[in-house]
Amino acid sequence: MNPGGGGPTTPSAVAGRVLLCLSLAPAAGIAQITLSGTAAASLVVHQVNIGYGVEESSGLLLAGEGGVTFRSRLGLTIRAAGGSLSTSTVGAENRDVGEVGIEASVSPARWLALRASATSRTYSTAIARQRWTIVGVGAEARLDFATSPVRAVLRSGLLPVVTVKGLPEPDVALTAGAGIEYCTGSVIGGLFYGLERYDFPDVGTGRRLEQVSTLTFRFTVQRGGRRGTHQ
Amino acid sequence: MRRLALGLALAVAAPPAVRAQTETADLLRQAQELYERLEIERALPLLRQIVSPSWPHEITKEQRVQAYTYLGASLVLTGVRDSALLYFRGAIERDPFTDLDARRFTPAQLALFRQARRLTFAVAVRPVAAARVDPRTERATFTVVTTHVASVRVELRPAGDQTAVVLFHDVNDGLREVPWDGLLPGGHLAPPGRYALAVVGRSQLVSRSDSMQVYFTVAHEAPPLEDTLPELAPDQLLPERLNASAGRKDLLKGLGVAVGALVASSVAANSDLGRDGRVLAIAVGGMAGIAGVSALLNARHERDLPASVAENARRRTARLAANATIARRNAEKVAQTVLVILPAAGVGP
Repeated sequence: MNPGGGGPTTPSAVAGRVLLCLSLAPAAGIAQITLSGTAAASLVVHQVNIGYGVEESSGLLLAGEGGVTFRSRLGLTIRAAGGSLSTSTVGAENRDVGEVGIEASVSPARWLALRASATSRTYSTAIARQRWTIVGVGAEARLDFATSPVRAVLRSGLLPVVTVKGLPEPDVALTAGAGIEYCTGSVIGGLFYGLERYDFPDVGTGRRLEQVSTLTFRFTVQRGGRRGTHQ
Repeated sequence: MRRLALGLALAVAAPPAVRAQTETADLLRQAQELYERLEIERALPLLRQIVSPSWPHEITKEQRVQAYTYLGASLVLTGVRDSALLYFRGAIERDPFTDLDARRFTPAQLALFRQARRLTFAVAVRPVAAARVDPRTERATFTVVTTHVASVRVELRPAGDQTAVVLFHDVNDGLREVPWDGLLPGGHLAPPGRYALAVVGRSQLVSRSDSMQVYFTVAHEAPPLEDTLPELAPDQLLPERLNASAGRKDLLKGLGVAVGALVASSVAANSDLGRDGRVLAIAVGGMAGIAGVSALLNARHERDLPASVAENARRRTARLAANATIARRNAEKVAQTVLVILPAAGVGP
């Protein structure tokens, strides 16, 4: 879903364009720069409780990412995703979700990356639309296996700025995740679990609790410069 | 009135040395005007006054040379050829580039001036002019002079270095422009730094030698060069031998991811929202655990890893190839280097 309301996004098209750009990028002259394109599919479980029981919806989210890394230290990634979540909860409506985001990262050590990100996300139903703006900071530990081209990844972070139209800022907003990557040549496949938790304060209408769990398959192609340890 | 006041203010504010030079210049200009009007008898006292040791004002080398030249020319017209010759020689000794314009002086003056040049021997080189020189297509030019026919050697030498480039070594008479292609012995481009240009001459008419050197600096102007890729760090290479301890460490990493996923889905998650999301974490944790156990089992028996050896060799080769490409691009940039030549302080015999 296009957060701006301009119509549905097509994440597969975005991913396709990113991969096309990567395939056309000249290898010479950018030895210190790594370009990457990622296609991802996420199984999403979205849970909300506004005081009348847990309303749960789930569905598939498709995403495309484009990234550039300078000298294996500084990274910049843009991301777009969209999909539909369906629910079996009585009285609840199915919803579409779309988001765009940007993330910057710096790696003070090979095994550690510090991240800062900003995301704009929109949930849409037939009768309403809710826009989220999320700013987060966090860290990611990357532990390469010595015996195989596998990398273990652990993530955690805080979301100090969460703006939701019609809601106060949450008391608790955090993110966590874990996963593994398998790297071969310039291609990386990964499986990740991710969690976003938002606890909104009670403003007289009950306390709103919201959580997004994801299981994500990622497929990344890199080009140029020095890639990850496992190639 | 305002202009007059401004002029007076500027005159008062001017440094004494500048005012003294202006006094000399004014008197020299008067003498030249008198000479041009052929009022030689009136011009001579003024010129003698300028070159007199008792002249109280500052006089530059150029002004003194000019005064000597006009004194010589005036004395030729009055028939005092011996004194005229002395003044001409004085002018030539102080500035070997001094010459008479054949359109403004008489044949007798020119002939006596040529005689003075034959009797006086000196070499000189003009101060190096600022220039940008592309060694591929251009040449830097230095101007040297001998007062008469002489054997001349023009050398260029990096400061503090005894190896010199001989730019000219032959017989010369008068002005000569000596080109330099910006290269040192061996065909190497002159590196940035300070250089001395030396001229040594030996007269073929009189038994005299003379020398002079001037200094200049050379800087390079070239596109910025690319950094080459550094050596591959140990953590950028795969282990080339499998051992049990590495397998145990990998097992711990896999279990770490499994534990991390479960902790995130239980501790970090909100228990008031149920546990439906945990199954996703279990899927990832299970996969990570399997990867860890596989690593442990795979590393039970120590052995070489030919695939890792080949992969490391491929990475080293790729790095060498990338550096060779960078080196080639850098060489192309170096070939585009332009020499920036600037005059430097210092002049010597």
